Amino acid sequence: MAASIALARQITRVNINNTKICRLSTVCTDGAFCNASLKRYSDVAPSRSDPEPDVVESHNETLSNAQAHYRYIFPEILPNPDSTRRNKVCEMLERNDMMNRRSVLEIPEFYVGSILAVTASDKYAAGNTSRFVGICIDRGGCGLRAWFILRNVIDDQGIEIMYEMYSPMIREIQMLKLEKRLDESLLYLRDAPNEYSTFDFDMAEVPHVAGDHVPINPLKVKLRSRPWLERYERQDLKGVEDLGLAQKFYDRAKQLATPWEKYDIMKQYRATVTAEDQDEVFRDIHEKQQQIEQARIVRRRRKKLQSNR
Amino acid sequence: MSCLTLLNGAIRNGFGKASFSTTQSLQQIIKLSRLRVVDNSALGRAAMQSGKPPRCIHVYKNTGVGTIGDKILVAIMGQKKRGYIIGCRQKQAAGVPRFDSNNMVLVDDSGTPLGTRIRVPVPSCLRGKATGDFSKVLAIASKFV
Amino acid sequence: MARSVPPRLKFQILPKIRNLSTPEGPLGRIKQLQKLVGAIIQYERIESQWSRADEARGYVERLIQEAVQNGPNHKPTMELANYWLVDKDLVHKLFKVLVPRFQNYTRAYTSMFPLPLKMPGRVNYKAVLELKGNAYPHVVPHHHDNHHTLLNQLLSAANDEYRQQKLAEKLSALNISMAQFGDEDKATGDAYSGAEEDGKGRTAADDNEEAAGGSPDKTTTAA
Repeated sequence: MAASIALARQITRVNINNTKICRLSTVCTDGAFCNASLKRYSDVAPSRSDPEPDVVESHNETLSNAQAHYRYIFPEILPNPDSTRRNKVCEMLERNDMMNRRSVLEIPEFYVGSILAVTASDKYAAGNTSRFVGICIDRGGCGLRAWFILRNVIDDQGIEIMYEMYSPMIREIQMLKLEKRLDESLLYLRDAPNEYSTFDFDMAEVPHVAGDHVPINPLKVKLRSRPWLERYERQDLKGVEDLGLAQKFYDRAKQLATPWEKYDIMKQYRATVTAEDQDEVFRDIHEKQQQIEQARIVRRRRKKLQSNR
Repeated sequence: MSCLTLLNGAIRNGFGKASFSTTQSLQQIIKLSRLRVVDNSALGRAAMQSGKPPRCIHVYKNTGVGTIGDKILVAIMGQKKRGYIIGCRQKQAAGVPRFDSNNMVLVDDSGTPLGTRIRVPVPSCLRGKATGDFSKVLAIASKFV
Repeated sequence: MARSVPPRLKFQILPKIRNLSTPEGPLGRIKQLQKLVGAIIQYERIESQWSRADEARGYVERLIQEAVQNGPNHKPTMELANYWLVDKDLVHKLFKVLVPRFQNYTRAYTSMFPLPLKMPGRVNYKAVLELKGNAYPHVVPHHHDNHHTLLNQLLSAANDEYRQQKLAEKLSALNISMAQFGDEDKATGDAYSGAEEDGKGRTAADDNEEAAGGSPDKTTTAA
């Protein structure tokens, strides 16, 4: 990765949107700006289980059905939409690295609300690995900096661990329960009673057939009494029960609300990777992804045969 | 925190924007931070039940900001006691657990922990700090995360 | 709002939105853009400040893009058109007039041209923003090159012939043949200096010609 960053820095002429821009291209090296600038994936890329199919996928007519799902399966493969951070060479190199990693480590399709078990390398733990089970409360980042946060409550202590998906320290990511929630981010679980975030480390894997619709858990969380970490009345949360606040809170929230952002199509455009760029990305990785999926099927079949014996 | 929002409100200009910027809440453990004692020491338990949790009065570190594994001095039930931070609310690096409360264990002057057991999970990266005093603290930990 | 992945806009946009500061803040910006978008859809060519026109351009293009892609029966698109076009007749125009016009466009639906600065005075960059295919004459007049029409080709050929004929007559008057011009070795200094003198100055013969009503080469080409 360091070599690819060095290569990208050497490039002084970059063709972006068919114009030559003479400047040194730099690679974003920290995940912080990615978190800030990149919208939640579901804002722009709904999952395959959307209840209201109001999306007209006309741009995908040229792609096969398989490729059309890629932006749901691994949204981090798409580059940062910020046009000042785009660099085709960097993106190509990162994509290569990502697919190479994916061919070695199976990173399942997951959404915020899914329950995962991550086994990571830990030199201080017994057996040099440590396993953590938790609900994904947030995910973000693009490219190799993609991350997700798992939350669990152990011995009445709420614990969260942020994992970088493509870190070589990760040995295994196991999908225990694939499901979606009503919100794109479950950070409000920090202000919810512990029951909502407790998941048994030994919980059994809930089987999910590949290609099936992702189920949406319609659970509405009842938060603890105030004080809270965030002003939830100002956020459009669907997975939370009635907050039970005084009217003045809702009035102030209405004052500060920005209902016009829903119609600000140029702001949304700048926060999305365009259809042409997406198609280019997916065509690039399609072959490799097919190989990975084929290998996975073979591996699963082999496992099944062994377990039957 | 509420004092700051009041100031923010008072200094608003005609466009309703505050005249100074503030950072996000950093969740750092500094002087006067309140912590949660997570061992089964009598002093710790009494402090937590009385509703007056220990307050950090010194961080044994050049920066003055304590994180996981740092030694601090706390004022607890009218006494000064040393302790180790074994859990932080602060945002951590990838792979390092972030706790919902700032956890600490009390330790006497010779470095022996006051309690006999830590009832919450402890980050496994603390094992890397198994030097002298700290190894005694790790010995009473029951679960590692 | 629109949840489908947008196709790339066929013109350059700045990486960030312009704030277009107004007393109402971000809402004021949207209201200003609503007016501009409505005006472009209605009049199909507007003059405005460069920054405002450039900002509105993206919104117009995206609106038309959504309308072309999804049609009027798509609820979110109709909601979007309803929001951006305050005058409801324009919503009708968008779907019934503009969508068929731009149905098969592969390029941008709008054009933007800078207007000249009025100097002396304060520098105020203005621009013309128009929808393509509008009924007005072109902003930048099309240069019509008529050189290759049949009539003009015949005329220019006739001109050339006349000139050659005249040159031959003048040379024969000075007893110099055309053959000498082709042969560098045989050409003398006199021959060249003689030709130059002839070429430069206007002889009495030329004056007579003009008085008579001009020669073929003096007529203007047919437009």
